[in-house]
Amino acid sequence: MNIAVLLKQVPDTTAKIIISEGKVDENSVSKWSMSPYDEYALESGLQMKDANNGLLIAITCGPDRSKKMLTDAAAVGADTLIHISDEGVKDSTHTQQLLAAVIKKFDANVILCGKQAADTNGGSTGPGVAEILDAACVTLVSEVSFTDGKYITMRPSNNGTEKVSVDGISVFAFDKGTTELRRPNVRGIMMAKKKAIESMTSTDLGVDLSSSNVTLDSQTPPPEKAAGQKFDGAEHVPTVVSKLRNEANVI
Amino acid sequence: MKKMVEYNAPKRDYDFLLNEVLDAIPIVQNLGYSEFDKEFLSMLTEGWAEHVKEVWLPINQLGDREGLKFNNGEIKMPEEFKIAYKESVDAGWLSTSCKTEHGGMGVPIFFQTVIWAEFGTSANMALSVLPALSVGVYEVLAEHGEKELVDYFATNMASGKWSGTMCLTEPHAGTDLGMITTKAVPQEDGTYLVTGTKIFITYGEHDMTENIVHLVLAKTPDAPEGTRGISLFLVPKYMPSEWKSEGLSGVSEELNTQHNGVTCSGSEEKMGVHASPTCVMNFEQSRGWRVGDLYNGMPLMFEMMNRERLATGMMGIGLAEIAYQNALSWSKERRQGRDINGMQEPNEVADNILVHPDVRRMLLEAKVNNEGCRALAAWTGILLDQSHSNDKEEAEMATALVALFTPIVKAHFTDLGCETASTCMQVMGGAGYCTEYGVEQFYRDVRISKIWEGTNGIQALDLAGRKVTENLGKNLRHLLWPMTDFINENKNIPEMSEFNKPLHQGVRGLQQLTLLMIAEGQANPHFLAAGATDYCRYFGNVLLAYMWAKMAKVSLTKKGEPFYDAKIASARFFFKKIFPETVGLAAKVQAGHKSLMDYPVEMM
Repeated sequence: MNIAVLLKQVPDTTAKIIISEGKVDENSVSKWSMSPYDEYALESGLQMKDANNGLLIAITCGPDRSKKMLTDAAAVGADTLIHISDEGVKDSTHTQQLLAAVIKKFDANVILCGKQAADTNGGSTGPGVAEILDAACVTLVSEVSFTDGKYITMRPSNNGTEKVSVDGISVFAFDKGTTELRRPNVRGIMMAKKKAIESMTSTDLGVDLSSSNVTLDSQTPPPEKAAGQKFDGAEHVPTVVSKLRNEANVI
Repeated sequence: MKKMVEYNAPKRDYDFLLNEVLDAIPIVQNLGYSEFDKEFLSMLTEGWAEHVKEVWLPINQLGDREGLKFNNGEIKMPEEFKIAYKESVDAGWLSTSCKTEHGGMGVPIFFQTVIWAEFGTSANMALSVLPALSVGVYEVLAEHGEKELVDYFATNMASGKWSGTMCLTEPHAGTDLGMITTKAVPQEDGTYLVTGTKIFITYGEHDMTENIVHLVLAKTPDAPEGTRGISLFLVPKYMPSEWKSEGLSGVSEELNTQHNGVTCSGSEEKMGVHASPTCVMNFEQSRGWRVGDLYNGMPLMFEMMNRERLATGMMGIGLAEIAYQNALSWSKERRQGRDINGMQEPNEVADNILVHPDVRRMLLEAKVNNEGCRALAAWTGILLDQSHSNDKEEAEMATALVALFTPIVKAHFTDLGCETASTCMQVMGGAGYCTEYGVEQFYRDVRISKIWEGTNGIQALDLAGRKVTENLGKNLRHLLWPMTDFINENKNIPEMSEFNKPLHQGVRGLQQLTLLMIAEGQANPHFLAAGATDYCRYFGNVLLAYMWAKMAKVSLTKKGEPFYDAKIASARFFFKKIFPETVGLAAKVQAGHKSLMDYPVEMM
């Protein structure tokens, strides 16, 4: 069983973000980490690998710095590490095409990813890749297992939890689960250090990035919040009460 | 305001020290650790930080409250400790510096001696002691044991599957080991039968590992008097079940169910480290093997002891760091009184306590001493690696400096550790004294570090009476040369003068005090002994000053970034508010021994 896990490196959720010239200043990000939803996809992939004697291929598409995340994935048990350069990538369909090309190259049977990245929160990778691969796609899953030729997964439904089973090549997009994530051990770190990362470009993968159907027309920052009103001293109590009652409608 | 104990391992600080101040990676790569790079160091540091935070820290308070159970010669550890220990063994975290041929990870020694030790003791001092001791036993064994002994014991010692102890003290012989009476009688098959009683044996008995390997100091029947007659023996709690007089080769790991005459007759009730057993151990015709040459027990035990002294010094930093982090986080939320220069937050019932100069003094003393000690620890760790260099000059320099620094790391770091834990409790007022905030546990736990592995008084004597003068004063020269070079290099850099000038004065003072100690000490040993503790603290302060000046120098090139600006501010605080204590210390050393020794004993 070849298990592909799609990973994205994002600014750590605890890192301070500085916006400069309307964009996140990447140089100011002190720490980059694996997107938290992807961590659950990776954990589930590792469990599936252990249970089915599979091969886990960790794939990322991003700048050079994202290789560090692949080494982190190897430290917990990823077997093959693939880094796709994001040079020339203009929109998320490009990313999906590149990821799908690698998935095909490795004949992956099952593809796991996070439901969305913690930075852009786009949520298009899983469904987009599934579309290109003509694969089944189940989103918001919390666990996946492989029994009798089928993938069985749990996801939230309108009135609780539903159990879904699919077969054939399938894509699963993970939400945060209750599964405890494994921590890297020393042996894993030693092995990861020695593990080679295979780098690929769009040319290597035969993906044409020259045209894009998507154009960014404009970008507007959220409107600034109006300043609050400040009252000091007991004499203002009637005014405050009146404002809370008539303007804010909270009492 | 009830809070959980917090801990975030100081990973950034080690990154700064090792990569920016001490340039550790090229040094260890040059020593043969060719694959050890910055990324690998960062993964190990992060991995270990996460492991202790998730696995060791959550059971630290439980260990303190439940402690261990001694019953009928057996010690039962809290179940949670057994689970945590096993998880650490399985993950390979206990053997990073052990040789790869024994299943260890073969990474530079400094990782285990410094980073591993600090994070481990911060998170759970009682638990950290067990693997720290085992690695010490492993090293003596791997270095000096006969091949069959190494082959049989080393792998399980390295992994942590079996643990180790050092058995020195006897009821009547602690600091003066020449008086020990434990006997080792040679047998025809080359083994020895060991009989005697040892006390204060940390983790002498417990149920966390299948076997416990004791390194025991004992005397053979015809041994010379005093320490010259002491040899070192390896005595397992359980013998291999397949062992017969022919030796250990080919013998399986299976152990006897009956113990090897090794029993625990008591466990001490203590002020702190309640989950670390302190045992009275009896050896009754217990079979063991000699490690190293006959009558060479003391030098071998001192090899282990020196490593454990550094480890004990790290306990000082480890506990001081977690005490500081918790006192700081508490302070940030605590409001009491008003800034005496005028209230800062009129809309609040009171200002935050960080407006008060004395609260800041306490917290900054803690932070700045912790960071200074950490820098010296990191340097000492790298020197330990360098002491194994094939380059004779490098090895000689590093060996000399490690010898010189060991008593200072042990005594100064643990003195400061105890002071800092106490100060951090003080910052928190009554809450600090209450159990639920955790700091009172750190205060109790860290206190033993001033006593363990040779009291701090002994360390001071070791420094003043031995380390400074031995090797024809070379130890000291290996320090003074680079310090003098550094001072000269920075003489004409205006931004460095606030750090460089006091450092220069401190170094000159150290030279003068050292000459005084040697000259007066030769005339009257009481002079040397009376001033040793103050001299040791003076020396410790000079080393921290050197570290702070170096850290400031690096940080000045990166001004504007909060981390480096804080380092410069810390260096400034050190030289203005901590380092001046050297003036008082020098006066006390110079005052000599008369006011002590002339005091009428009957009036004490």
